[in-house]
Amino acid sequence: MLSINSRLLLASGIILIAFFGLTGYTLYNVFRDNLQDAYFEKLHSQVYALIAASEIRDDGTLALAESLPEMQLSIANSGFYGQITRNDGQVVWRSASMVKREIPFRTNLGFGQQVQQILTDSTGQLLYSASFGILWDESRPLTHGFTYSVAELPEGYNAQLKLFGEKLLGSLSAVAVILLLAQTALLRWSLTPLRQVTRELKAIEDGVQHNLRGEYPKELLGLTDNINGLLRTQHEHLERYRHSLADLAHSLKTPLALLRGAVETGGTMKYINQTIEDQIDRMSQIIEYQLQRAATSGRTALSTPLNISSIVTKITHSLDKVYADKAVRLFLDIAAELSLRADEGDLMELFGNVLDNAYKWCKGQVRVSGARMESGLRIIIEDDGPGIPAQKIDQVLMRGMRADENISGHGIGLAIVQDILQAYGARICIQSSGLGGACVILTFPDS
Amino acid sequence: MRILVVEDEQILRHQLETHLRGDGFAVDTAADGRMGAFRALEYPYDLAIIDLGLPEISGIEIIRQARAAGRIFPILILTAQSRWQDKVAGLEAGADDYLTKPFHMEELQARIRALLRRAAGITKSTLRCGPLTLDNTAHKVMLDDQPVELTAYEYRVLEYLVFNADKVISKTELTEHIYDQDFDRDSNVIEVFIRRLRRKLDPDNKYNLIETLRGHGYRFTIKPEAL
Repeated sequence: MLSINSRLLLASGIILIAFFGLTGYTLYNVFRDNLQDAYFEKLHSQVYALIAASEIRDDGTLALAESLPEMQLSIANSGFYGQITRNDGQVVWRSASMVKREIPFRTNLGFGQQVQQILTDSTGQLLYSASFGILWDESRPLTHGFTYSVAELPEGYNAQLKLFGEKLLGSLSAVAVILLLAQTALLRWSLTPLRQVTRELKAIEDGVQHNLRGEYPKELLGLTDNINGLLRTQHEHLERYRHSLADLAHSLKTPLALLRGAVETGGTMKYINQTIEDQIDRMSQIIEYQLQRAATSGRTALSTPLNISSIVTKITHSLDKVYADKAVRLFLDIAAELSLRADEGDLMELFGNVLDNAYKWCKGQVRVSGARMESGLRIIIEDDGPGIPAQKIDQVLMRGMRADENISGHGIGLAIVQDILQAYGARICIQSSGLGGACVILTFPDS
Repeated sequence: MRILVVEDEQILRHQLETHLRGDGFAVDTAADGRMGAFRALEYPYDLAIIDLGLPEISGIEIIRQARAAGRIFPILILTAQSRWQDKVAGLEAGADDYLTKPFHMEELQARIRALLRRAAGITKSTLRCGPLTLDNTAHKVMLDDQPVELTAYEYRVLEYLVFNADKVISKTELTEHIYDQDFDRDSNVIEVFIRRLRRKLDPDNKYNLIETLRGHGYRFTIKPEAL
C-alpha cells in the first residue's frame, strides 16, 4: 500500500503541476494576444503614415513624397513592405523593399475598411500585414478607391513572445519546486507524531515500555488513548488470568488432600464414597467460580453501550423455557433506551445469575425494574419467594469473596455476581421485596 | 420413551446410556455431530440429550437443524460451558433446558422426566387415570391403590399410551418409541405387551382402559389428571 507520505506528495504534485500548467497556458495566451494587437496597431499607424505621405494628382494618379515615412520601405528585402492598389486592380505603387516577391495583400477595400492578417509571400515567409481602404474625394473629377497595405516580418514579435515564454516557464517551475519542497517538509513535520507512535509501539512489542508515553496532538489522542486503554485492559486480563490460575491451583489442593487422606487413612466404603462425592462437588464449584472470574472482562476502553432491556429479555426468555413448569409471571419495567457500557458476556453472566436465583426461588412472580438515578444506573430484581433473612444477607454476600474459601451451594452465583460488579465498580444490596421475597439492587456508577 | 444421546466423550456416553436404560428408556447414542444430526432428523425420539461441544457439527447446529425440520421433541443441552452467554445461545437455538457438567445423574433424570411430562402437557409426576395411578418418577403403577408389577417394556408401553391419551397410536409408532436403534423389532410383540397390560391392569375388563382400533392401533381411553 502507498504510504501516507507518498499519497500526499503525489496528490499535491499532481495538483501543483495542473495548477501551474493552466496558469502558464492562460498567461501565455493573454500575453500573445496583447502583443499581436499591439503589433497590428503599429502596422495600422504605418499605413496611416503612408497615406499621409501620398497625394493624388489631378489626373487621378498617385504621387508619393520623396521621403517615405519608414526608411525600411526603401531598402531591398528589409522585411518591411508597402503597396498601394487602385480598386480596379492596378498596383499603383510598390515599396522599393519588395524586390522579387509578391505579397497577396487584400485589395479592393471600401472606404474606411480595415483589415489585419497574417500572409505568406511568394518566398514563403510569414508576414503580418495591415490594409486600409480610402477614397480620394469630392473635389476631384476622377475618384478612385485605393487600398494601402503594409506588411512586416514578425521578427520582433516572435522574439518578444519567446522571451516571455521562457521567463514564464522559469519562474513558474521555480515556484512549483519551492512549493513541493515546502510540502514535503510540512508533511514530514505533520507525520512526526505517527512515526513516534510506530516507534513507541515497537518499543512496547520489544518489552522496553508498557504504554505510549509521548505527548500527542489532539487529533491522535483518541487513537493513542484507546491503544493505552487496550494495553491496560490486556495487562489487567493477563494479571487476572495469572491470579485465577494460581488461585485455582491452590484451591484445588485442599480437596485433593482430603481425597488422598480418605484413600490412605481408609474407612468404610460408604465414608470414602461420601468424601469423594463431596470433594468432586467442591472441586467443580471451585473450577466454575474461578473460570467465571477469569472470564470477567470488566469495563474496557472499547466497551460499547449495551441495551439493558434486550439483555434482560434474552435471559428471561431462556429462563421461561427452563422454568416452564412454574409459569413465572414477569413484570419488566426498564426504559427501552437504558444502556450500560460493558462487556456483553459480563452482563449476561450478571443478570443470568441474579435472574436465575429469582426464578428458582419465586412462587410465581418476578419483577425487574431499571432506571437512571442520580447515583448512577439502578436495576432492581425482586421475587415473591421466601427471601433471604436479614442476618444471612451478609453471609451470602461474603461467600466466595476469597478464592480459597470453601464455596458451596447456590451462593456461588452471587459470588460470581459480586466479582463482576467489582470489575465495574458497581454495588449490590439485598433487601426484602414488596412482593414478599428477595430484592436485589444493583447500582452502576456513571462512567 | 426413546431418547437420543449425542455425546463425544465415550465414558460419559456409556454412563448416560447405562443410567437411562436402567431408568427404563430406549436409548440411541451418537458420538459425533454428524451422526447426531442424522439420528435427530431421521428417527422419532421423545427427547434428545445433546452435548454442545461436538466434533464435525456443533450441538447448537444439530438443535437448529432439528427445529428447522419441524422436530418438536424436548432437547436438553449438556455443556461444560457454564457461561450464561452459551446457555442462552443454546436455548435460543431451540433447546428446552440445560445441564452443566459435571452433573448428578439424579439431576439429569429429574430434568428428563420434567421435560417429558411438559411435552405431554402434564405438570405433575403422579397421574391418575380412573382406577390407575402412574408414578412417572418411580415408574410405579397402582391399581386401586395396590401396586402392580410391570416389566420395563410393559411400563414403557403404558407410559407412552398414557402420555398420549385419547390419541390413536399405531403399532409402528409404539415400536419406534419403546425400542432403540439396535433392537430387532417385531411388532407382534406389541400385541403381547398390550394383552399382558390388559390382564394386569384390568383383569375383569371393567374399564376398557386400552381400546383396539382394528387396522389403526391402540388408544388409552382415560385422560390422566394430575395428583
